[in-house]
Amino acid sequence: MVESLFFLLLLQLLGETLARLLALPVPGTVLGMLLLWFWLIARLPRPKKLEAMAQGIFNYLPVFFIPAAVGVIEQRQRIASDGWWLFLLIVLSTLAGIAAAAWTMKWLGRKDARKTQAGTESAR
Amino acid sequence: MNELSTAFSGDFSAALPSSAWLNFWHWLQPTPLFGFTLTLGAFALGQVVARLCRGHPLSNPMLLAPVFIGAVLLAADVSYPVYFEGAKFLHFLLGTATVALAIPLARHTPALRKDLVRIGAGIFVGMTVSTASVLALAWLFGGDATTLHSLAPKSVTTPIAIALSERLGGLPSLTVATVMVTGMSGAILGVPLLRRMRIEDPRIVGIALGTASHGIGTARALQVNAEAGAYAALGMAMTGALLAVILPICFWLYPRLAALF
Repeated sequence: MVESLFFLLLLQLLGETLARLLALPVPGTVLGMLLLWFWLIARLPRPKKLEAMAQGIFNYLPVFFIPAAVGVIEQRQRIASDGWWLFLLIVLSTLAGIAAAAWTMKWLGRKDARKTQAGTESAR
Repeated sequence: MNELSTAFSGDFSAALPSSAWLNFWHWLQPTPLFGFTLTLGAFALGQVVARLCRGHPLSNPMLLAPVFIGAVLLAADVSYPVYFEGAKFLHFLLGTATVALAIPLARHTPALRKDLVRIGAGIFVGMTVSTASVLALAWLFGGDATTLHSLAPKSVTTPIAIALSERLGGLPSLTVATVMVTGMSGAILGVPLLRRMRIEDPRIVGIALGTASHGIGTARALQVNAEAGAYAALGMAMTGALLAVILPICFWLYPRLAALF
Protein backbone atom coordinates (compact mmCIF):
# COMPACT_ATOMS: atom_id res chain seq x y z
CA MET A 1 0.00 0.00 0.00
CA VAL A 2 2.82 2.41 0.91
CA GLU A 3 4.59 1.89 -2.42
CA SER A 4 1.31 2.48 -4.30
CA LEU A 5 0.75 5.80 -2.49
CA PHE A 6 4.41 6.70 -3.09
CA PHE A 7 3.98 5.89 -6.80
CA LEU A 8 0.88 8.12 -7.05
CA LEU A 9 2.60 10.98 -5.17
CA LEU A 10 5.65 10.62 -7.43
CA LEU A 11 3.47 11.00 -10.55
CA GLN A 12 1.68 13.97 -8.92
CA LEU A 13 5.11 15.53 -8.25
CA LEU A 14 6.23 14.80 -11.82
CA GLY A 15 3.04 16.36 -13.24
CA GLU A 16 3.35 19.50 -11.08
CA THR A 17 7.06 19.81 -11.96
CA LEU A 18 6.34 19.53 -15.71
CA ALA A 19 3.47 22.05 -15.52
CA ARG A 20 5.72 24.54 -13.71
CA LEU A 21 8.90 24.00 -15.74
CA LEU A 22 7.10 24.24 -19.09
CA ALA A 23 4.66 26.93 -17.79
CA LEU A 24 1.72 24.86 -19.14
CA PRO A 25 -1.83 26.11 -18.51
CA VAL A 26 -3.00 22.53 -17.70
CA PRO A 27 -3.18 21.65 -13.95
CA GLY A 28 -0.17 19.60 -12.81
CA THR A 29 -2.36 16.92 -11.21
CA VAL A 30 -4.09 16.38 -14.58
CA LEU A 31 -0.69 15.98 -16.26
CA GLY A 32 0.10 13.41 -13.58
CA MET A 33 -3.15 11.62 -14.43
CA LEU A 34 -2.34 11.62 -18.17
CA LEU A 35 1.21 10.33 -17.46
CA LEU A 36 -0.22 7.49 -15.35
CA TRP A 37 -2.79 6.75 -18.08
CA PHE A 38 -0.02 6.33 -20.72
CA TRP A 39 2.00 4.32 -18.19
CA LEU A 40 -0.89 1.91 -17.62
CA ILE A 41 -1.86 1.59 -21.33
CA ALA A 42 1.80 0.88 -22.17
CA ARG A 43 1.64 -1.90 -19.52
CA LEU A 44 4.79 -0.70 -17.77
CA PRO A 45 5.54 -2.26 -14.35
CA ARG A 46 3.37 -0.89 -11.53
CA PRO A 47 3.01 -1.46 -7.77
CA LYS A 48 0.97 -4.60 -7.05
CA LYS A 49 -1.68 -2.95 -4.90
CA LEU A 50 -2.15 0.18 -7.03
CA GLU A 51 -5.79 -0.60 -7.89
CA ALA A 52 -6.68 -1.30 -4.24
CA MET A 53 -4.96 1.94 -3.17
CA ALA A 54 -6.90 3.92 -5.80
CA GLN A 55 -10.18 2.31 -4.69
CA GLY A 56 -9.33 3.25 -1.09
CA ILE A 57 -8.80 6.88 -2.13
CA PHE A 58 -12.02 6.92 -4.20
CA ASN A 59 -14.01 5.66 -1.19
CA TYR A 60 -13.05 8.85 0.67
CA LEU A 61 -13.29 11.16 -2.36
CA PRO A 62 -16.37 13.12 -1.14
CA VAL A 63 -14.51 14.02 2.10
CA PHE A 64 -11.68 15.61 0.09
CA PHE A 65 -14.10 17.97 -1.70
CA ILE A 66 -15.43 19.47 1.51
CA PRO A 67 -12.65 21.95 2.46
CA ALA A 68 -13.04 23.58 -0.99
CA ALA A 69 -16.84 23.46 -0.83
CA VAL A 70 -16.90 25.26 2.55
CA GLY A 71 -15.39 28.25 0.71
CA VAL A 72 -18.93 28.99 -0.51
CA ILE A 73 -19.44 30.84 2.82
CA GLU A 74 -17.07 33.50 1.46
CA GLN A 75 -19.34 33.82 -1.62
CA ARG A 76 -22.55 34.45 0.36
CA GLN A 77 -23.19 37.83 -1.29
CA ARG A 78 -22.50 36.57 -4.81
CA ILE A 79 -24.84 33.60 -4.28
CA ALA A 80 -27.56 35.75 -2.70
CA SER A 81 -27.53 38.12 -5.70
CA ASP A 82 -26.69 35.78 -8.62
CA GLY A 83 -27.54 32.33 -7.23
CA TRP A 84 -30.92 31.83 -8.88
CA TRP A 85 -30.00 32.68 -12.45
CA LEU A 86 -26.72 30.80 -12.15
CA PHE A 87 -28.67 27.77 -10.92
CA LEU A 88 -31.02 28.00 -13.92
CA LEU A 89 -28.16 28.36 -16.45
CA ILE A 90 -26.34 25.36 -14.98
CA VAL A 91 -29.44 23.13 -15.15
CA LEU A 92 -30.29 24.24 -18.72
CA SER A 93 -26.76 23.74 -20.06
CA THR A 94 -26.57 20.30 -18.41
CA LEU A 95 -29.78 19.20 -20.16
CA ALA A 96 -28.48 20.65 -23.45
CA GLY A 97 -25.28 18.61 -23.04
CA ILE A 98 -27.19 15.38 -22.36
CA ALA A 99 -29.47 15.92 -25.38
CA ALA A 100 -26.53 16.86 -27.65
CA ALA A 101 -24.46 13.79 -26.71
CA ALA A 102 -27.45 11.47 -27.13
CA TRP A 103 -28.52 12.96 -30.48
CA THR A 104 -24.99 12.75 -31.89
CA MET A 105 -24.64 9.07 -30.98
CA LYS A 106 -28.13 8.20 -32.20
CA TRP A 107 -27.55 9.99 -35.53
CA LEU A 108 -24.18 8.30 -36.11
CA GLY A 109 -25.70 4.95 -35.12
CA ARG A 110 -28.53 5.38 -37.63
CA LYS A 111 -26.01 6.16 -40.38
CA ASP A 112 -24.01 3.04 -39.44
CA ALA A 113 -27.19 0.91 -39.49
CA ARG A 114 -28.13 2.25 -42.94
CA LYS A 115 -24.63 1.54 -44.22
CA THR A 116 -24.66 -2.08 -42.99
CA GLN A 117 -28.20 -2.49 -44.38
CA ALA A 118 -27.07 -1.14 -47.78
CA GLY A 119 -24.06 -3.44 -47.56
CA THR A 120 -26.17 -6.55 -47.05
CA GLU A 121 -28.55 -5.50 -49.86
CA SER A 122 -25.75 -4.99 -52.39
CA ALA A 123 -24.30 -8.35 -51.32
CA ARG A 124 -27.50 -10.01 -52.47
CA MET B 1 -0.55 27.19 40.85
CA ASN B 2 -1.00 25.91 37.32
CA GLU B 3 1.18 27.12 34.44
CA LEU B 4 -1.57 28.85 32.50
CA SER B 5 -2.38 31.37 35.22
CA THR B 6 1.31 32.23 35.80
CA ALA B 7 1.77 32.66 32.04
CA PHE B 8 -0.94 35.31 32.12
CA SER B 9 0.15 37.03 35.34
CA GLY B 10 1.38 40.12 33.44
CA ASP B 11 -1.75 40.29 31.28
CA PHE B 12 -4.66 42.42 32.44
CA SER B 13 -7.17 39.99 30.91
CA ALA B 14 -5.74 37.27 33.15
CA ALA B 15 -8.19 38.53 35.71
CA LEU B 16 -10.97 37.10 33.54
CA PRO B 17 -11.55 33.40 34.05
CA SER B 18 -12.00 32.84 30.29
CA SER B 19 -8.49 33.91 29.23
CA ALA B 20 -7.03 30.41 29.42
CA TRP B 21 -9.89 29.18 27.26
CA LEU B 22 -9.42 32.05 24.78
CA ASN B 23 -5.71 31.32 24.53
CA PHE B 24 -6.46 27.66 23.87
CA TRP B 25 -9.13 28.58 21.32
CA HIS B 26 -6.79 30.85 19.33
CA TRP B 27 -4.13 28.15 19.33
CA LEU B 28 -6.65 25.53 18.19
CA GLN B 29 -8.31 27.35 15.24
CA PRO B 30 -5.63 26.97 12.52
CA THR B 31 -4.54 23.45 13.57
CA PRO B 32 -5.65 20.21 11.85
CA LEU B 33 -7.23 19.29 15.18
CA PHE B 34 -9.89 21.88 14.39
CA GLY B 35 -10.17 21.92 10.56
CA PHE B 36 -9.53 18.23 9.90
CA THR B 37 -11.62 16.98 12.84
CA LEU B 38 -14.53 19.33 12.08
CA THR B 39 -14.55 18.20 8.42
CA LEU B 40 -14.61 14.49 9.23
CA GLY B 41 -17.18 15.03 12.01
CA ALA B 42 -19.46 17.05 9.74
CA PHE B 43 -19.23 14.35 7.05
CA ALA B 44 -20.03 11.60 9.57
CA LEU B 45 -23.02 13.64 10.81
CA GLY B 46 -24.08 14.14 7.17
CA GLN B 47 -24.01 10.37 6.66
CA VAL B 48 -26.23 9.85 9.72
CA VAL B 49 -28.73 12.46 8.46
CA ALA B 50 -28.67 10.92 4.94
CA ARG B 51 -29.45 7.51 6.47
CA LEU B 52 -32.34 9.01 8.47
CA CYS B 53 -33.67 10.61 5.24
CA ARG B 54 -33.31 7.23 3.51
CA GLY B 55 -30.88 8.49 0.89
CA HIS B 56 -33.02 11.36 -0.45
CA PRO B 57 -30.87 13.06 -3.16
CA LEU B 58 -30.86 16.38 -1.27
CA SER B 59 -29.60 14.71 1.93
CA ASN B 60 -26.22 13.94 0.28
CA PRO B 61 -23.41 14.20 2.92
CA MET B 62 -21.37 16.15 0.34
CA LEU B 63 -24.11 18.79 0.40
CA LEU B 64 -24.81 18.66 4.15
CA ALA B 65 -21.23 18.68 5.52
CA PRO B 66 -20.25 22.09 4.06
CA VAL B 67 -23.51 23.54 5.46
CA PHE B 68 -22.73 22.18 8.96
CA ILE B 69 -19.13 23.44 8.81
CA GLY B 70 -20.21 26.82 7.45
CA ALA B 71 -22.69 27.18 10.32
CA VAL B 72 -19.98 26.31 12.90
CA LEU B 73 -17.48 28.76 11.36
CA LEU B 74 -20.02 31.60 11.27
CA ALA B 75 -21.27 30.91 14.80
CA ALA B 76 -17.74 30.59 16.25
CA ASP B 77 -16.43 33.53 14.18
CA VAL B 78 -13.61 31.52 12.54
CA SER B 79 -12.59 32.80 9.10
CA TYR B 80 -12.43 30.43 6.12
CA PRO B 81 -8.63 30.80 5.57
CA VAL B 82 -8.02 29.87 9.23
CA TYR B 83 -10.25 26.77 8.91
CA PHE B 84 -8.55 25.85 5.60
CA GLU B 85 -5.13 25.99 7.30
CA GLY B 86 -6.13 22.89 9.25
CA ALA B 87 -8.23 21.24 6.50
CA LYS B 88 -5.67 21.66 3.68
CA PHE B 89 -4.30 18.16 4.22
CA LEU B 90 -7.62 16.71 3.03
CA HIS B 91 -7.66 19.17 0.12
CA PHE B 92 -4.16 18.06 -0.90
CA LEU B 93 -5.27 14.43 -1.29
CA LEU B 94 -7.73 15.60 -3.95
CA GLY B 95 -4.69 16.03 -6.23
CA THR B 96 -3.55 12.48 -5.52
CA ALA B 97 -7.09 11.26 -6.25
CA THR B 98 -6.97 13.11 -9.59
CA VAL B 99 -3.81 11.22 -10.56
CA ALA B 100 -5.47 7.95 -9.50
CA LEU B 101 -8.40 8.65 -11.89
CA ALA B 102 -6.06 7.32 -14.62
CA ILE B 103 -6.73 3.80 -13.29
CA PRO B 104 -10.49 3.65 -14.18
CA LEU B 105 -9.67 5.61 -17.35
CA ALA B 106 -7.21 2.91 -18.44
CA ARG B 107 -9.73 0.22 -17.49
CA HIS B 108 -12.35 1.72 -19.85
CA THR B 109 -9.97 2.45 -22.73
CA PRO B 110 -10.66 -0.91 -24.53
CA ALA B 111 -14.43 -0.12 -24.67
CA LEU B 112 -13.59 3.26 -26.20
CA ARG B 113 -11.36 1.67 -28.87
CA LYS B 114 -14.21 -0.65 -29.97
CA ASP B 115 -16.53 2.19 -31.06
CA LEU B 116 -14.14 5.14 -31.13
CA VAL B 117 -15.86 7.44 -33.66
CA ARG B 118 -19.40 7.22 -32.24
CA ILE B 119 -18.39 7.42 -28.58
CA GLY B 120 -15.73 10.07 -29.25
CA ALA B 121 -18.20 12.21 -31.20
CA GLY B 122 -20.91 11.83 -28.52
CA ILE B 123 -18.52 12.84 -25.74
CA PHE B 124 -17.01 15.71 -27.72
CA VAL B 125 -20.36 17.21 -28.79
CA GLY B 126 -21.90 16.69 -25.33
CA MET B 127 -19.08 18.37 -23.42
CA THR B 128 -18.76 21.20 -25.96
CA VAL B 129 -22.49 21.97 -25.87
CA SER B 130 -22.76 21.91 -22.06
CA THR B 131 -19.63 24.06 -21.58
CA ALA B 132 -20.26 26.50 -24.45
CA SER B 133 -23.93 26.97 -23.54
CA VAL B 134 -23.25 27.81 -19.89
CA LEU B 135 -20.46 30.23 -20.87
CA ALA B 136 -22.55 31.90 -23.58
CA LEU B 137 -25.60 32.25 -21.31
CA ALA B 138 -23.57 33.54 -18.34
CA TRP B 139 -21.82 36.04 -20.63
CA LEU B 140 -25.19 37.22 -22.00
CA PHE B 141 -26.47 37.72 -18.44
CA GLY B 142 -23.42 39.88 -17.74
CA GLY B 143 -21.39 37.44 -15.62
CA ASP B 144 -17.86 38.68 -14.79
CA ALA B 145 -14.63 36.83 -15.71
CA THR B 146 -14.41 35.17 -12.29
CA THR B 147 -17.93 33.75 -12.68
CA LEU B 148 -17.16 32.46 -16.19
CA HIS B 149 -13.90 30.83 -15.02
CA SER B 150 -15.75 29.21 -12.12
CA LEU B 151 -18.60 27.91 -14.32
CA ALA B 152 -16.44 26.59 -17.21
CA PRO B 153 -15.46 23.24 -15.60
CA LYS B 154 -19.09 22.44 -14.65
CA SER B 155 -19.25 19.06 -16.42
CA VAL B 156 -15.83 17.95 -15.18
CA THR B 157 -15.48 15.51 -12.28
CA THR B 158 -14.98 17.50 -9.04
CA PRO B 159 -11.24 16.93 -8.33
CA ILE B 160 -10.27 18.01 -11.87
CA ALA B 161 -12.85 20.84 -11.81
CA ILE B 162 -11.28 22.29 -8.63
CA ALA B 163 -7.78 22.11 -10.14
CA LEU B 164 -9.07 23.76 -13.35
CA SER B 165 -10.89 26.50 -11.45
CA GLU B 166 -7.72 27.31 -9.47
CA ARG B 167 -5.64 27.31 -12.65
CA LEU B 168 -8.08 29.47 -14.66
CA GLY B 169 -8.53 32.03 -11.89
CA GLY B 170 -12.05 31.07 -10.83
CA LEU B 171 -13.39 30.52 -7.32
CA PRO B 172 -12.96 26.81 -6.44
CA SER B 173 -15.85 27.00 -3.95
CA LEU B 174 -18.24 28.40 -6.59
CA THR B 175 -17.01 25.64 -8.93
CA VAL B 176 -17.80 22.94 -6.36
CA ALA B 177 -21.35 24.31 -6.02
CA THR B 178 -21.69 24.48 -9.84
CA VAL B 179 -20.42 20.93 -10.31
CA MET B 180 -22.85 19.68 -7.63
CA VAL B 181 -25.85 21.37 -9.30
CA THR B 182 -24.72 19.98 -12.68
CA GLY B 183 -24.49 16.45 -11.31
CA MET B 184 -27.78 16.59 -9.40
CA SER B 185 -29.77 18.10 -12.29
CA GLY B 186 -28.41 15.56 -14.78
CA ALA B 187 -29.08 12.66 -12.42
CA ILE B 188 -32.65 13.78 -11.64
CA LEU B 189 -33.78 15.15 -15.04
CA GLY B 190 -31.48 13.25 -17.46
CA VAL B 191 -33.29 9.91 -17.59
CA PRO B 192 -36.78 11.44 -18.12
CA LEU B 193 -35.32 13.68 -20.86
CA LEU B 194 -33.69 10.71 -22.65
CA ARG B 195 -36.93 8.71 -22.34
CA ARG B 196 -38.78 11.60 -23.97
CA MET B 197 -36.19 11.56 -26.79
CA ARG B 198 -36.98 7.80 -27.14
CA ILE B 199 -33.40 6.78 -26.42
CA GLU B 200 -33.08 3.41 -24.73
CA ASP B 201 -29.65 2.17 -25.86
CA PRO B 202 -27.76 1.84 -22.53
CA ARG B 203 -24.51 2.89 -24.23
CA ILE B 204 -26.06 6.22 -25.31
CA VAL B 205 -27.77 6.76 -21.94
CA GLY B 206 -24.44 6.11 -20.19
CA ILE B 207 -22.29 8.36 -22.38
CA ALA B 208 -24.85 11.21 -22.20
CA LEU B 209 -25.18 11.07 -18.39
CA GLY B 210 -21.45 10.60 -17.70
CA THR B 211 -20.36 13.32 -20.14
CA ALA B 212 -22.81 15.98 -18.95
CA SER B 213 -23.00 15.19 -15.23
CA HIS B 214 -19.79 13.34 -14.26
CA GLY B 215 -19.80 11.10 -11.13
CA ILE B 216 -23.33 11.84 -9.96
CA GLY B 217 -24.68 11.11 -13.46
CA THR B 218 -22.59 7.93 -13.50
CA ALA B 219 -24.15 6.79 -10.23
CA ARG B 220 -27.60 7.37 -11.80
CA ALA B 221 -26.60 5.45 -14.97
CA LEU B 222 -25.50 2.51 -12.80
CA GLN B 223 -29.11 2.32 -11.53
CA VAL B 224 -30.30 1.96 -15.16
CA ASN B 225 -27.97 -1.03 -15.68
CA ALA B 226 -24.31 -2.05 -15.45
CA GLU B 227 -23.61 -1.39 -19.15
CA ALA B 228 -24.96 2.17 -18.93
CA GLY B 229 -22.84 2.64 -15.78
CA ALA B 230 -19.64 1.50 -17.49
CA TYR B 231 -20.22 3.79 -20.47
CA ALA B 232 -21.05 6.67 -18.12
CA ALA B 233 -17.73 6.13 -16.32
CA LEU B 234 -16.01 6.25 -19.72
CA GLY B 235 -17.87 9.48 -20.63
CA MET B 236 -16.97 11.05 -17.29
CA ALA B 237 -13.28 10.09 -17.50
CA MET B 238 -12.86 11.26 -21.11
CA THR B 239 -14.69 14.55 -20.48
CA GLY B 240 -12.46 15.23 -17.47
CA ALA B 241 -9.25 14.41 -19.34
CA LEU B 242 -10.20 16.29 -22.53
CA LEU B 243 -11.59 19.44 -20.89
CA ALA B 244 -8.65 19.57 -18.47
CA VAL B 245 -6.42 20.11 -21.50
CA ILE B 246 -8.82 22.00 -23.83
CA LEU B 247 -10.24 24.58 -21.36
CA PRO B 248 -6.90 26.06 -20.21
CA ILE B 249 -5.75 26.27 -23.85
CA CYS B 250 -9.00 28.02 -24.89
CA PHE B 251 -8.79 30.52 -22.01
CA TRP B 252 -5.09 31.06 -22.79
CA LEU B 253 -5.76 31.58 -26.51
CA TYR B 254 -8.88 33.75 -26.22
CA PRO B 255 -7.30 37.05 -25.02
CA ARG B 256 -4.42 36.57 -27.48
CA LEU B 257 -6.78 36.00 -30.44
CA ALA B 258 -9.05 38.84 -29.31
CA ALA B 259 -6.02 41.18 -29.23
CA LEU B 260 -5.34 40.42 -32.91
CA PHE B 261 -8.64 41.87 -34.11
